[in-house]
Amino acid sequence: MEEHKLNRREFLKLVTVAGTGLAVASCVPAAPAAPAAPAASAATAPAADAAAGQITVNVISQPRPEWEFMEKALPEFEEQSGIKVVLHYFAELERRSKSRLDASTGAGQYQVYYVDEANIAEFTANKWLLPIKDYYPTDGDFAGFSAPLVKVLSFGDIPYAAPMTFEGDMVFYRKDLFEAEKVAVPTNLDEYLAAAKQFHKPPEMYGTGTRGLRGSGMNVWRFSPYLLRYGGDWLDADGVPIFNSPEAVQATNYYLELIKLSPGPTMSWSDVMDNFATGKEAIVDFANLKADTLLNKEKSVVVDKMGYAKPPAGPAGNVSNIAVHGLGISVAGTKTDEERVAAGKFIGWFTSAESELSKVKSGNGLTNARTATFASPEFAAAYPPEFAAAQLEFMAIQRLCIPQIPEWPEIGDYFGIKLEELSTQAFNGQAVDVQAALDDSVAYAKQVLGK
Amino acid sequence: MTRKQFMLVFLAPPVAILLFLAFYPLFNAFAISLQDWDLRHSVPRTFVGFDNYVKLFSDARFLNALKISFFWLVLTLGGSVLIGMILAPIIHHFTRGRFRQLCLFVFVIPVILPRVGAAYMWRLMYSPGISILNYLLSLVGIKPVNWLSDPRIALYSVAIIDVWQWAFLIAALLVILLDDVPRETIEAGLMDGANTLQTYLYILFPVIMPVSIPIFFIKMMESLRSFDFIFVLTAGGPGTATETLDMYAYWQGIGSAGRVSYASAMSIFMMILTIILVNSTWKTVEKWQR
Repeated sequence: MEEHKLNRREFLKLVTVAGTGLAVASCVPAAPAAPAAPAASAATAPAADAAAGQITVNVISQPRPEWEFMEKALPEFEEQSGIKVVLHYFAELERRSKSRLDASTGAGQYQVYYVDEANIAEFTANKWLLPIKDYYPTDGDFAGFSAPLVKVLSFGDIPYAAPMTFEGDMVFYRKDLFEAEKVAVPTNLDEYLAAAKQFHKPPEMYGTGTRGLRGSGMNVWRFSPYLLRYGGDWLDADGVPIFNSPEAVQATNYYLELIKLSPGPTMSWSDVMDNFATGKEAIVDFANLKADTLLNKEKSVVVDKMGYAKPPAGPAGNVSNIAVHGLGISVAGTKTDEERVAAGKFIGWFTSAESELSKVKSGNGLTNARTATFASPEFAAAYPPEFAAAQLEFMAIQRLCIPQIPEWPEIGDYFGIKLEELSTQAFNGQAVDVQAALDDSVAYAKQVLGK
Repeated sequence: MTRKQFMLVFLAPPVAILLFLAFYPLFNAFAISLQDWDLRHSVPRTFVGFDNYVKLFSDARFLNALKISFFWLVLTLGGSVLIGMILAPIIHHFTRGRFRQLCLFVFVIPVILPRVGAAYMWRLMYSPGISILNYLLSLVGIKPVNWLSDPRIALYSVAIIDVWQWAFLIAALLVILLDDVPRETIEAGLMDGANTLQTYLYILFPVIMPVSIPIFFIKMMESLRSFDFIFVLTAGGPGTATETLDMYAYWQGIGSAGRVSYASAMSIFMMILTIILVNSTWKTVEKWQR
């Protein structure tokens, strides 16, 4: 075989170009370039359609079953309204970053943003959204939305997005096991922990499953209602971080006890769900939306063995964490009042009471936001009576358990790392210094907030 | 039109496009790295010079990410090349014809799988409670292993997946190169009394090495892009045990903090590091080949 001798300089030139491409493509956020992708179709669409006398509404969204369902009904809405709707789907994190780039750079390629509890504060503080009620159809019954959901999507008293779906904490437990061992359904944190300990017989059965993977929307999300149930809070009235208080230490210790009774210390929500669905966990404090999977006989072996309850109360009362997703109108994306009205009409149609009931009938009953929908005969017919009752119970105690400030994702992610470190130490039987970890996180939060 | 003019006319446009695609993002990222652009706040950007670069070296999390990236590179590059070089002679020596073709086909499958899809598959295999790997270990009396949640082994657990994807591909490529070595070269070695191991170590590998080294360099650059597996499997945790440079740049730039300028500085630093690393490694290899 002929021996090839590569010239080092020539090869390095190639390597440099390739390395540049790889490095930049893989980790430079390329912020100014990012919104360019949909620009060709989206940014030019309104102008092109304006010539034809039709308004186009570009919606940034993320793929979810209820969107698939609503997309099928879209042609009917377009025909009736004369509005063309283009849906741009992105995975959750990408959806957040795309809409952030679109709004912060003023690109304005989307008329409707899909927002949630994690980024609504950033969007309202920067005035990237219009007050939704100014453009929501007057006959659309905005008052029919569950009040806590509207509150999350508001800045002050002004709502900036219409809620379309939400998640809340509720308890799923193995009714068959609880009945067999005559254990009462826990109503407070102590009873919950005692029950988890009683059923904890690994590796066949774990007392509970607790989300431990780091992240403001992961382990910190799971931890946050415990903080409030113990009487702690993230910030004081002046916005100064205080989550290193004695109550926060108690809440963290409780959370770590639950981690020790879980299959692993860094589980994602899907790990928790997979273990419960395969009959490996006795009781979980989990998002209600997961019921659609847990009640699916193809995905779960515990369909007929589940019980439901509202979350356990703590010394300072009870609260169910709330994740809200909604639709808002972009300031940058709507240059004319005509475009704003069209965006409002689309949001009104998507979140209407009629759309919600049609979603219930199609098997997407949980992805709604109106109280009346959850109390409707259609919802009662679609879900077990115990579940429907627990759903209404936890909705009555819902509130957002994280602070609504633009800096929250950064602060939450940092605390998530510390919480994950504590979790792995506790799970592996090592000593933990909860106070030091909380003090460190509070110091970081103060630095970010300039307090 | 002369041949030279003809080539210039037809080559200039694609070369110009390629150069633009390669260098525009680079210059743009560099320009952003000299500003204080924060996506969370709609305030005008200002020029801050090299502040972001200076900050990097007092950021403990960045220094940790640098260390983790280096370990990741050593683990995945070393593991892939070593296993590839062990597997290649075995396949080359013991297989022939269609069976060899089948082996090569199977070897290429892991790298064809989409990385995120492969990561989800492995996450399920590592998943606490329902891990098939732990089940297999339990059959021989070994306690469950916390594959992704023990800071001491999490990086190795993720690196295994990268090695699984690349080692077989490298083995397949080496087998193809070994096939091209003239029979006379091997026979000459055998006549001189070399055994099978010596034939591979002292005759065949040195012959194919000049062509193999670019493959290892490509793997080296690929190893510096470690985002997908780590993002899906551990998100950089537990704690910061698997947080590499690109993972940290992502969190700083887009993931949560929105500090695009700081993340860009990190990326430019990483690119310079890549060039230095490739250059110095190449020099070392050149010396070794002489």
